[in-house]
Amino acid sequence: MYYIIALLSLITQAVKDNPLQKASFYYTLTYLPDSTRTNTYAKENFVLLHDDTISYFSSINYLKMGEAFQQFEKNAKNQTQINTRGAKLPLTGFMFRIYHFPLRGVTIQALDMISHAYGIEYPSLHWQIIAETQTINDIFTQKAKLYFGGRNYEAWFSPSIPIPEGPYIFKGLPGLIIRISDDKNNYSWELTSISEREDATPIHYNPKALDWIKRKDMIYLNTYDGRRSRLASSGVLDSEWQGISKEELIQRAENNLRKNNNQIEIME
Amino acid sequence: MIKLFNSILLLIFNFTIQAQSLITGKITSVEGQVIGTASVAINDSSTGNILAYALCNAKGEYKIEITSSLEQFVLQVRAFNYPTEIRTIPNQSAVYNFTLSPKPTELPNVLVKPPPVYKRGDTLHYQVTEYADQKDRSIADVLRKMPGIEVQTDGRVLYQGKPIQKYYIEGMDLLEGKYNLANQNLPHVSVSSVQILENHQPIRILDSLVPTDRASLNIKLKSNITVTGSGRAGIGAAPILWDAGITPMLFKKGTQFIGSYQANNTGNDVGKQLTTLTLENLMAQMDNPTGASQTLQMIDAAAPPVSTQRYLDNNVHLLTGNLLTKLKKDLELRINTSYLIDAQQRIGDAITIYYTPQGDIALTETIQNRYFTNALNTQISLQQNTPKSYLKNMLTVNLHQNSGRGTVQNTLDTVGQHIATPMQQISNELRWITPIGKQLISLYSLVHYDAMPHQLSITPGAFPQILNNNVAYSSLQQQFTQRHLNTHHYAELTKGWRKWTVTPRMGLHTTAQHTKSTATIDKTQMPANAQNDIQANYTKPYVKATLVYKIPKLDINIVMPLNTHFFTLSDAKRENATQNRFVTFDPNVYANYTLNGYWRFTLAGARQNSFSNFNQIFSGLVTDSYRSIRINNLPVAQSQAAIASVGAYFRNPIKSVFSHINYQWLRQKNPFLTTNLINPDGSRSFEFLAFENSISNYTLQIKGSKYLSKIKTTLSAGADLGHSQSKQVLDGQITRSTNRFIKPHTKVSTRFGTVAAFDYTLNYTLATNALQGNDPNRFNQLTQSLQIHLYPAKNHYLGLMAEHFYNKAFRQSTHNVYPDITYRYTLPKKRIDFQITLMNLLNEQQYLSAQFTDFFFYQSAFTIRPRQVLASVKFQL
Repeated sequence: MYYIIALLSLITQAVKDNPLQKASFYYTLTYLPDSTRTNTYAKENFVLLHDDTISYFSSINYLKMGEAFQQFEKNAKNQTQINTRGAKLPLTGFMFRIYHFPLRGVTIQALDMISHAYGIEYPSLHWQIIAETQTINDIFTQKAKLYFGGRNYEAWFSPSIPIPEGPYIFKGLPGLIIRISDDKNNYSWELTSISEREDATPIHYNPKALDWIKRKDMIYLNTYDGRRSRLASSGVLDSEWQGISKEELIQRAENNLRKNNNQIEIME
Repeated sequence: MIKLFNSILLLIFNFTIQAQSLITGKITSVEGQVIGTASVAINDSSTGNILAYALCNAKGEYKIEITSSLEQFVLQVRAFNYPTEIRTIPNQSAVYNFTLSPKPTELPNVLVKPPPVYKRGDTLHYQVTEYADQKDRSIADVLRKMPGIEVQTDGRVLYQGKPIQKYYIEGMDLLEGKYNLANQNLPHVSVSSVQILENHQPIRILDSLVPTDRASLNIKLKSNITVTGSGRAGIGAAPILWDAGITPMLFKKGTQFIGSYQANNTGNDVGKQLTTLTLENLMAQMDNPTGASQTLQMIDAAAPPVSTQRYLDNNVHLLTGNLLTKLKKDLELRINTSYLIDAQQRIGDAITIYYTPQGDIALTETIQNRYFTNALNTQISLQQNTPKSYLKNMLTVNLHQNSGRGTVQNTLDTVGQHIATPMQQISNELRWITPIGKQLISLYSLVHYDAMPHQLSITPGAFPQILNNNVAYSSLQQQFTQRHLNTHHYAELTKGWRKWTVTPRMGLHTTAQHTKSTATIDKTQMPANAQNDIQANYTKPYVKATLVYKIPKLDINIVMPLNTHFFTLSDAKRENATQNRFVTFDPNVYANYTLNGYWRFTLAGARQNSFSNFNQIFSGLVTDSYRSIRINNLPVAQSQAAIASVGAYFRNPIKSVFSHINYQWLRQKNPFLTTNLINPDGSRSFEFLAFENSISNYTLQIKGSKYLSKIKTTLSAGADLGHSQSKQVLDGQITRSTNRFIKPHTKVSTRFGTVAAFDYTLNYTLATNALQGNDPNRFNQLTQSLQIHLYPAKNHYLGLMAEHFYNKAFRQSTHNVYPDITYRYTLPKKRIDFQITLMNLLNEQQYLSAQFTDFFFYQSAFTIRPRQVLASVKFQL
């Protein structure tokens, strides 16, 4: 029976003579984690998964981290506590994922760890189209400007890739964003490759898994204190680990938070 | 008539009234479904640019409001995996609905190509492939085309008009200032990018404490282990020419090596590859003056202002080995050694015609000199440079056995001159920085010793009226020996406090100089009036405080040194001794403000005291050249200078635009004026007039460069302006002398696809000198150089070059034109070039320059290299 269904679905696929493609877009972000050290830039790779009515954007390591967590959960079915600390988890400086619903004109940012998620909805952004064009990596692009979260962004989008997508929450232009950076070059994303998702599983979005909170709380969670409290609530700093004392761990985490003071804004 | 009126009206309204239109509609797929990615854009029909757009809502509806004076638009409906619908619509409110049937959208392949210049933090990256073309071989060939970077004729690399601080290869400093060796011989094909490290502090422990606005250069190689280098062999005529060289290089993690043997008689001054070019190394020499200067001179023909390759008559051999290796514990050992043998010949003629009431008197002079260089230089240094500590010890030993021989033939006589200028030099420099508690302790020690037993022989004997009771004699030998022992020690504490870094220092600087001179005529030693035996000691204890204030956009650096200077001079021959003591305060302040990623401003001011003459004082007669015999018994002179400068620097790496403007002002106060007295017996001595006077000077430098990546062209242009004013004693009168110059310059370097390239440079100098009450003297000089590079077929290269020099001084002008041709065939895949070069096609024999006044006419001719042909093979290792 299974084979018959499979065969049927293959036939219907073939009959539909235009199998629609689904694409993944890879971006590299070059950013300044610490605004007091203007010569120390960091890089991280991101992926944008695109389906017809929804898109997903996150750091590749965040995505891998999620997979790793799921693996832990599977392995730890019989254990009372999941201990992830000893394992080599992919590291990311960007603990969030972004969902975009173009027809609803809404972007949702889910912040934080796999188990604790907070969600926030953004309305459409107010882009200003500029009559300036350039070719980036052999792709013809036009310029658009946006003021968001205290930074002035300059985006270059490609009308020939008709997808109203881009990195982070930067969505809603009549073409894919190929490059976007703020005028101080603190955050700069650039498209590095495109690939087709041939056997794509649909993008999974579960609003019930998100803990919906108010705007001001979300803003607080992105401040130093907020990030500190998120870290504390995750239980990471509760006990000593691999011979490092609890105090030392807290010290290290706080130093790390202080060093990464140039967080990208989540609000206007 | 009404039609005409209407259309005029329409025309006017078109310009004055902007129509507002509301375009709405609905977009669905053939199945009647809403398409998530659908967007509608209104494009300018002439430029194709998007003017306004809208995305569809959940019902598939869109709405665009547009205000524009255009008569019509192009409406484009796009959606992912649907074909693009294009429709030309009038500028009117209307409803346009679309039904789309699916069609896959082809996604482009993204080829991430790094831009020609890009910036990451304080580092600029230049992609070598973007600037290199077929004829380029060394990395220096490519560097000179990068915007913001200049390579001067001596090989010095400038960034934004200032010499670079370090030349690293893969972050390692193998050559320390003598980077020309790598720059000229490292094939650019081994290099992936050139990085400019702005605000680079080479001492890592000082990184966040001591800010700097200096830039360093780093060569990024293509692979981790690189064995590369270049070699060449060539022969030519006429006379017989030869050129040979091999420069192997090895770069791997932890070890770097560059060795080289180069020899030629083609005028290629390979000794230039050993010159120290970084400002830091030159400044270190200034900070620790060794007093080594040459008093005895041969009268020489002045070199023309053309490239040395055109006139240098040489026979040079250069052997050098440079090794840098990482030992344990971040310790680096570096050994640089070189041996240079060179024989150079310089020939020049001068004609001077004096117009006198009695008639014209013509004087001709022919100078033929040969110079011999034998120089062995060795430097061994040990360095530890980590964020936790810094240690560097550098031992330098230089042994030079240089000499010269020549004749000066004038209307009356033929004078033979022979000079020996050997020098032995040894020095050790140690710097150690270590953290103690929360501060840094820094200890420094320099000990330097040199000996220079120089000798000048003149035949027939010069100045018989002074030295030999007016009786002609056959030969004069002048000995002049100086020995120096210099030391400099200091201890320093660096402490960071909030946004400040405070560095107090205590130091002691000493110089002991012994000068001994004797003169021998016809093997008889001259008496005491032509002898010197002088011990001059200088001691400078000082305290110095350096304050640095740093916030993200601003650095302020204040240095406050308080110096005590003790001079003692004892003359054993004349049995007298003098002592002087001065206390000086020489503060300087420097501020650097970064407005944004593009603009940077600097402001600097300083007060300086300097003491001239001290190491040049002698009371016994010295014949320092066949034309000059003198005593120099001036007092120690304290000069005070005030210096101020402002600069603005702009760079936009995205647009590849670099520019800067720099203004410098200097005013120096001197306690007396010196006059050069020509005594009745022909000797010279100095007289000083206690007249406080000042020199004022300003220079303005403007420069801009831009790289146009579409047409692969680097454009640069700028100008230097200067003005200086000083007092002179002329015929017993104090007169004011004013010098002005303006030097515009431009450079274009472009490539037309793969077929042709050309480089053009133009330098113009207009200088005037005016003495109070006299008409100013004008001097014009124009230098142009045009290089056309043609690639008629794959692996073939034809280079056509021409240099033009134009001189105009007073009323006389001269032109010198030198065309050259180079043809090269490159053996594919093997990186071997066969090359034939024809230089000086017009076979010009001399470089002419002239001066002309109401009283005399002076023309000089320097013998340059005649037409020559050189066939050579060049290869990359």
